[in-house]
Amino acid sequence: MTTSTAQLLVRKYRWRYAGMIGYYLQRVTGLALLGYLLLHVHTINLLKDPAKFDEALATFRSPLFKLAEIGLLATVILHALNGIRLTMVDCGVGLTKQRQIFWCFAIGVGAILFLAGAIPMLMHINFQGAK
Amino acid sequence: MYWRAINWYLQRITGAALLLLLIMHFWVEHFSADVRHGELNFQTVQTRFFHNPWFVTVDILFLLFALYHGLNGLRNIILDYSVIGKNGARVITVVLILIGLVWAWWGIDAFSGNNLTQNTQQLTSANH
Repeated sequence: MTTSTAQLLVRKYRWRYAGMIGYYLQRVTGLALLGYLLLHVHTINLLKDPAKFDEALATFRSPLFKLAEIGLLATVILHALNGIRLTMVDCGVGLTKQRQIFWCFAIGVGAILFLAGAIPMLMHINFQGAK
Repeated sequence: MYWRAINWYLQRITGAALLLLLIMHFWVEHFSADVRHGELNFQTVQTRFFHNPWFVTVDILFLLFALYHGLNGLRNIILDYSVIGKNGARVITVVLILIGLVWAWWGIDAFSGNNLTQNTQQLTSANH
């Protein structure tokens, strides 16, 4: 059985660039989380004004924001698990296995955690509009 | 130890702390509090928010750690991609510290500057 070019490419990217993918992943998700923190602090500040706060909650109930919330879950999980891997690399733990740790732990375990949270969240989206 | 090395260690330490604080934040705000039934509104959030001063402490700590970790990460990215001298880096650092201080005050103000807290505490005690 011969290996196709596509398979070879996948293999190349998976093994040679795992560290680099993880590096960019950490930066992009980190920036996104900082942006979320800005929105979050803004919302929590609205607690001083009940009318404005309820208005914000109504906005967050829209399907678009619910989907963004699911995206946030993915972002947090990726940043946290990849961060654990990075810290392990920094401490010299599992250096020779760091690619496997990236794909199996950060991406694999991350995907399982994500699905465990995303499926119930998806089921709660009310696409017919606010209740 | 050089400041850069301390900064590097702190990024790892705050990262680990953030994971713990995130779990605590989620446990407090989304599982232990009575917000999982019915529709979320101002009253439930306000009551949940202020029903235990320790939870407020956890959230403020979470905010401060996240701000350090996030803005330090942003600083790393800016310094990586920009061709600026030592003075330019200093300016970036000072600006980011100022942003962090304002942001921290803004977040803490959401707790301490909330005049409706008293009202909520009465409501909470009335419910018990």
